[in-house]
Amino acid sequence: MDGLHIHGVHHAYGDTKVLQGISLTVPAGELVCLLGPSGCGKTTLLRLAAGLERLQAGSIAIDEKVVAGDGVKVLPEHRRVGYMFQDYALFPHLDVTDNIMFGLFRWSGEEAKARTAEVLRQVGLEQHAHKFPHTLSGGQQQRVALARAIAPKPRLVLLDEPFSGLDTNMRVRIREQTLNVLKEAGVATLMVTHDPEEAMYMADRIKGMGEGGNVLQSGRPTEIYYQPVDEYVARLFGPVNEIVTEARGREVKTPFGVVPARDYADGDRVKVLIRPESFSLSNAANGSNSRRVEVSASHLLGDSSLVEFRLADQLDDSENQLFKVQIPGNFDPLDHTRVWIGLAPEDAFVFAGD
Amino acid sequence: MVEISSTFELKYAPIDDDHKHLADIVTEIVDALDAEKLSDSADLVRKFVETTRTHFQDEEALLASHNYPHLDKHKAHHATLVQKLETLQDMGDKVVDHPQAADSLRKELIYFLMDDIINEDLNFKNFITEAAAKD
Ligand SMILES: [Fe+2]
Ligand SMILES: [Fe+2]
Repeated sequence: MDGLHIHGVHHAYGDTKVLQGISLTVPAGELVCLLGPSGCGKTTLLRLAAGLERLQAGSIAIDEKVVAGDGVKVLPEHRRVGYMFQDYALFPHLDVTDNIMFGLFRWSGEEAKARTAEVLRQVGLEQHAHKFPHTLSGGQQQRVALARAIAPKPRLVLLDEPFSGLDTNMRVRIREQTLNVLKEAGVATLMVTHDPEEAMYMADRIKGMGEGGNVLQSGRPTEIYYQPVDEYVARLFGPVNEIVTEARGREVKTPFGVVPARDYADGDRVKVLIRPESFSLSNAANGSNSRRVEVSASHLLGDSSLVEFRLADQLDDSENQLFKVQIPGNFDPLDHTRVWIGLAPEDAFVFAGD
Repeated sequence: MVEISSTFELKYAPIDDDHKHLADIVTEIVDALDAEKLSDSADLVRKFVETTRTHFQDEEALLASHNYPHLDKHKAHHATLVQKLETLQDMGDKVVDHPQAADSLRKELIYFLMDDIINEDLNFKNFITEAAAKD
């Protein structure tokens, strides 16, 4: 199968293990994203795929051809890999065209020129062909980097936190364009990021990575977001509300209704995790699971509002927990207003308590 | 056509043959989707799900018979995949009324076969070929 195939990669720097048995497949035309905190070894994996680091264990194949492992080591320049790394800057003394042509040194002059014009058109920079990098915006520089990465028609593209240097508006536009260009090129892409939204937007498949440099869960973005296998993966997508309690009758009682807990016996300590965006909020009771609460604070985040609240009938309890709900649009209630919170039981995750 | 090429082979015929059989079913599903025979594809997904379950059982029995040291871990992995099989079946059934979901199903089947099933099996490639050589 065309694409990238990594199997059983372990890697250590001295005594520090950074990758422990990573395997993954990226079919041609697909984008797989490694999502994890910094220091989880994801950049090391990209460097190994690119051939910038010596493989210690495992194997890496691109389009069925082993490029590292089993006694083989194909040099980086022969792997047909394009990269967009955070620190992989454009050459400041070359104009846009020459930056792209640089990677086409094996091509004939005419072919290289035609290809450069083609990729500049793809990224919408044909007007800027003869400008120098420092005269371009961050987003334009990023598009030049993308054009340069795909110009030699690589079989694999590696993206390392490619949009992290861009401001929010620019980031949204550039990632959309990058995805279109990569899909059009039909190239296998492996991307690493710590930004869950970016991973959800870009990836056909996400691999959630743990701090030990291992994959904790693989799946479609919706699958890994809605059915995380453990607490760690659930938290990769941002802060969550947490209720520590006990299971009874294969269920867990929470202030927001009863949640199924099939895998737990009576008396088992469990943690119920609820994403802020999983709660609904209304001004009136809405179904049997809705619960009256008191607003402690609210923050407008732009296109959504983050509201902090406590359970209304436990206000005297000093232990009374603060919860957070995130809802679309502007919701700006006065503090201490009473509102109703709802939760669909399937949107709460139950894991073993500590 | 979905093929188990050499980088995905364990070089141990009983398991490779099973995986090839699964790949053949995926190919049939992809062909049915391409031909827009959607109820056929739903039936074939059912066949894929059943065949995969049987394969997991057979593989676990085989590994147990050779005292594979990481059997529990691999069984746990199969257990998570069995849950995913339900999602796959669901997608297979949904495609009948929602042909636009065909692409997602096609993709998911290929990842499931290559990334979830076979990649993880490659972990016991050396173990099983050595165990077989001793027999
Ligand atoms: Fe298997
Ligand atoms: Fe297996």
